[in-house]
Amino acid sequence: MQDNILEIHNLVTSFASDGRKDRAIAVNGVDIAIPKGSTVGLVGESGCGKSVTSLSAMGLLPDNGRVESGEAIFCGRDLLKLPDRELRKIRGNRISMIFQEPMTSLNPVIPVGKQVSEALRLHGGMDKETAKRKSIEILERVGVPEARRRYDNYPHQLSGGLRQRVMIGMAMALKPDLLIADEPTTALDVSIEAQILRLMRTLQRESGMSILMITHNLGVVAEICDEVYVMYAGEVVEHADVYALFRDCAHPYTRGLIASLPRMTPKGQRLYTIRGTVPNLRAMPAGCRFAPRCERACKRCWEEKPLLQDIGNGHLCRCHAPVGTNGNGGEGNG
Amino acid sequence: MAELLRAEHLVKEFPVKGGVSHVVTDVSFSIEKGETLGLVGESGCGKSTLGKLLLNLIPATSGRVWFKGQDLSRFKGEALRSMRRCMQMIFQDPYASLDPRMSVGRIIMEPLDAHRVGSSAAERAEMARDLLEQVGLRREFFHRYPHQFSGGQRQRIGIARALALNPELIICDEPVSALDVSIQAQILNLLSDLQADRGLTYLFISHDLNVVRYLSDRVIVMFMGQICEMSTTDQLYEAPRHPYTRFLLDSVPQPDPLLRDETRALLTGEPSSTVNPPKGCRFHPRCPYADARCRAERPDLAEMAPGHFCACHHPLMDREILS
Repeated sequence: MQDNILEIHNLVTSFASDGRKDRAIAVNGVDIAIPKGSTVGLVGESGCGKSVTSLSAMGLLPDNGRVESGEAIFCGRDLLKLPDRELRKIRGNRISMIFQEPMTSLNPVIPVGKQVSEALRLHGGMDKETAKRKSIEILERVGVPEARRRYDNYPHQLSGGLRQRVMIGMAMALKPDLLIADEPTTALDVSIEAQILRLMRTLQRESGMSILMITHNLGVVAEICDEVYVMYAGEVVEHADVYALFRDCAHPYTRGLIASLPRMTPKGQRLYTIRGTVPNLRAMPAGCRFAPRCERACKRCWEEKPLLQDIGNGHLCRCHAPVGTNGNGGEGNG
Repeated sequence: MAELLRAEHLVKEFPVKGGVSHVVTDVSFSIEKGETLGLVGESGCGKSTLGKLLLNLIPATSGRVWFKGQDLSRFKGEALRSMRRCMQMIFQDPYASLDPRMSVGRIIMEPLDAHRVGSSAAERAEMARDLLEQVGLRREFFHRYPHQFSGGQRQRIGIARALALNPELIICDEPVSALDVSIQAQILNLLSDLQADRGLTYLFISHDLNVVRYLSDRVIVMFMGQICEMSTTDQLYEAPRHPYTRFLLDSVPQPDPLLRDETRALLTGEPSSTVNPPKGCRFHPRCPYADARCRAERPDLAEMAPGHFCACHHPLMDREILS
């Protein structure tokens, strides 16, 4: 327990939508632990609840969203019960966030360097001169070329890759304990993505911070994460360390995701596909939420909701018949 | 195989503040009937512009496009319209490329109506229903509207519309980039099936090197408006000759943690501006092998091995490792 920087317990988050009385449950009882100094991946397809999970913990849900229950313990304090003022302090000083499109998080009418130094002054209590000097150092550190000149550039004058470097610089400026990165490289070209991922790793090694990496890209997960949570339809369906996950994934959904990637499949051979589409949040299957799309689903899967269970060595899987295991009613390889 | 399309010295320049943006510079290649030619490169390399030049959706500054032996630039009005029937395009964003006020049936019938295919509206509606079925949708969806569909279904509608006039060539511009992984595989399989059934030819434009590898017979790599390498898929991925191609392939995060390599050489820096592109080889400011010649003299696209073209003064040897 002591070794986790953030622990989310049984988080339930709902959303209201226009003209409906019932609320849609977007996150349904999620448990996630982020060990100190490690990078944890939260992976899943659009609408699975991965971003909502982190926004809930950070108190950043949009107006129509509401945390129904659960806790998010950060250094012994439940973020979900903190007054706004306290939470804002933690968000600025100890937890930083970066998002997919840095343009939406940067102020378009303020030079980027000034934005970094204002963050330092606001949260770090530095004077103007020190903050400016420190900001240029930070921009250099995150690989912004000609940092002194770039300091006075407006966001639109920078490329997407440079903007994301500025965002990372800003996020790192206050030496946070936890960095939440929500699809930080999704909008970038692969060569820039590789640079950004390596930068995040290097900075992490220097500072010892923890990272929650939210992504749909299994390549990014394999490249940078130590452990992984796979989400499907608002729930964690599998959790394992990254090597175990890619070697012995146990949930048919995870397996399907990995198998459907065009990696080494020769031309002409069909790609594996997961049939159907993600269920509607307001019409979830009664049993396993993945059952309608699962090749292995049997009667029990339709009727009884599987629990997230340890299938060995802390590898968690929410399935009545995990792939490739002997226990838990496994039925061979599907 | 017979040549279906040939681009000859295509150039596209846009006037911008402070000069001219060289978006596509002297690009020549051909597409064989029935093949899939992949076109990869990073944002701003000119790959989408090139796709539009081929269809004459935007006029080229200079250069020619030959389709089945005929010079497309000579066609005007009705003749150009009828040539265009043979060439269609599928776009990235299945949300933006379908008119939200039109029913799915109308969307698919639009090209049929425009080209007065068939003898009656009823016949065209029937053809639209057939097309829905061929892309894996239900015939009843004819009366629904785009917002009632998921991203993958909308892309299927876009494909049905592209197929309506029974084209020979389809230019696919990032058709699966906006889709989730599990849906992406469904669309890629559909594209393969349609190619097998109809003998289609694809130009497949994408930034996703894994997807391009899976689908393509041959691949063109573009960098700053120029072709830097062109080859059969296997040769290009297994033994790239251009340093940029090598860097690009090494940058792709592979879904296997055992392939992690933190010592791997990465491309540094940012792409230069196409307004005042570097002299000589446009890649030289970022290339570890660049020398005086690269800074002065533009390398031609030369055939290094049968079918393997590369524009570099210092091409990599087989399986050479970047240091």
